[in-house]
Amino acid sequence: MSGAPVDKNRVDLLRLPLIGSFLHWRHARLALQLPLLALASAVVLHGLLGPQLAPRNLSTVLTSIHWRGLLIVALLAIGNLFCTACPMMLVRDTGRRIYHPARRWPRWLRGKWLAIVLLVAVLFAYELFDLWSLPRATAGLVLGYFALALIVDVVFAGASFCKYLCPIGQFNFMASTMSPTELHVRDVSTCRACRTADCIKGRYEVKTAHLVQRGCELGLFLPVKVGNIDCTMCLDCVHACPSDNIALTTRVPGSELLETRRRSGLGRLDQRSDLAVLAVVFTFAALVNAFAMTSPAFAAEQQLAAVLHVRSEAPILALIFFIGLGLAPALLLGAAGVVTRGLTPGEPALLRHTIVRYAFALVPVGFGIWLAHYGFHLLTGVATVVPVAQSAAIDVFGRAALGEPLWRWVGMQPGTVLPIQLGFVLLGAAGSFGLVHATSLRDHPSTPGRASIPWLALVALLTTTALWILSQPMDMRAVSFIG
Amino acid sequence: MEPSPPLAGSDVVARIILRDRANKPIVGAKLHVEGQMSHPGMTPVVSDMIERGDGLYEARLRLTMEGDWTLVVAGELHDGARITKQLDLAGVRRAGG
Repeated sequence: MSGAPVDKNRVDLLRLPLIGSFLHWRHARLALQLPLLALASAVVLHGLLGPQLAPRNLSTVLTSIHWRGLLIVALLAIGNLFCTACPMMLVRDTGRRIYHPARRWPRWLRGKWLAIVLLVAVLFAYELFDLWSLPRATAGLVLGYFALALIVDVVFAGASFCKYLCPIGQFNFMASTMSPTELHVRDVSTCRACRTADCIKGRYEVKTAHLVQRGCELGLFLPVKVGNIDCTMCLDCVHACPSDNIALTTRVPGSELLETRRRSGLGRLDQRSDLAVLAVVFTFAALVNAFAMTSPAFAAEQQLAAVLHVRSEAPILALIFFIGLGLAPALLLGAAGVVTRGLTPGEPALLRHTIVRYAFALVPVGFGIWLAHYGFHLLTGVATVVPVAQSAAIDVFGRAALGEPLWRWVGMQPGTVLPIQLGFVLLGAAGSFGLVHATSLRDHPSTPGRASIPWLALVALLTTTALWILSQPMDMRAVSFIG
Repeated sequence: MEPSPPLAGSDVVARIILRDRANKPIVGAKLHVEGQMSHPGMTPVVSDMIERGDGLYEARLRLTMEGDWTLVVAGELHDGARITKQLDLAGVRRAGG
């Protein structure tokens, strides 16, 4: 067991009054899931039955503004709270009372490749079909998500959907590397003396052999668990450990990206090309997703359509995604890797290894861009839920049961949010600069400065691009592409 | 709408004429117009409509950014009945854009 002991100077949230008591409560997760299940129900019902104008429908308002925004804020402030409160797992658990999964997820599909494809597909569909403007389609997507999670997890044991498929989960896993908390064993010696490994196997009633408490369904064995990747913060390990030896401690965000120790359920980070690609997609998708909202994106689409004599958006958008998430990252990271190897003779690793080791250093700036983007919508639209809920009450009751809709309730003015956005991106960039340098100190201790040069330049390029995108006029489109 | 097509960044005037089934002008309605973007959470533009007579109601508003807008005229008629009328304005551009 190689897990590091908990630093005594760190705060253990499970030891705090109230918070600790709540999190130790057996039904803590259920208490967090039920409100989200209620909100998901409202999203589906209003999306299907309510007005089909996006700003007037809870389906599009709650998902595009509040859920996305609060998800990333929670990741930054606390941890992977939205996986903890995931209502899909509540439905899945109910399904498993009826049908017990007997199969294991196919070995050849273990890894993140399929999930990366799904994540890109969701982002592509979001832009192609303008899902933010389609309440009924949003409701359908939510229902589809629930159905897929249910089907996968009543067929396959463990948390197969979370670990191998869920696009939101993969986003959260990568983003949670920037979270300030982590589940961790308190005392490794206690684990060494443990003979039951309840934290991963679960706890069974002795006489009946019935499972009374699940262990980690994502295959993270706490004594050798490192970091937050693949951790849904479900707290099963906390409840399963008979020695109360698990802590939810504060830590330095992003520090786990430097860890080269073997991780339970994951292996070594620097040997996982799929996780490195996920980190790169996470980072570059932040730029593509934000860019798609701007006037230059619309102009670029029009020009590409004219040059290629195409009148459909799909091939143009596919080309932009290919460039933004495939070609550009491959060229930029490839070039950075080549330069690093050229500047640090004697580097034994293959080019792929060099790239994989540095790819994780891009996550902070990617996180900063996502935070700037989703934070913008949250801050400028946080109050819109009030008039939309009032309007929904009129739809349901036929009268203004919650008062006349206050359509002027929106949020902060976009201009006032810009400095906050810039701050998020620059903070993320600072984190990436730091990680690049720390990676060089780790892998090239004799020439850290030279090894860092191309990667620092890449982070600077990503940051500059993000700042340029944020300064562009927005162009909210939903129905028009050509003409 | 005036101008037609409307331009982003400058004032536009929205007019609506209300008539009943007998084609008589509807007077005394309390209406407002909301300009909403396709993306939820974007700042809407909201303006009360002023009755100009003969069933004509008018509002001045400024579409703040380029993109797809939807105008929603909503309110109450003098008898308390609620009305809602929606008009899509796709691809609003700035002058010279």
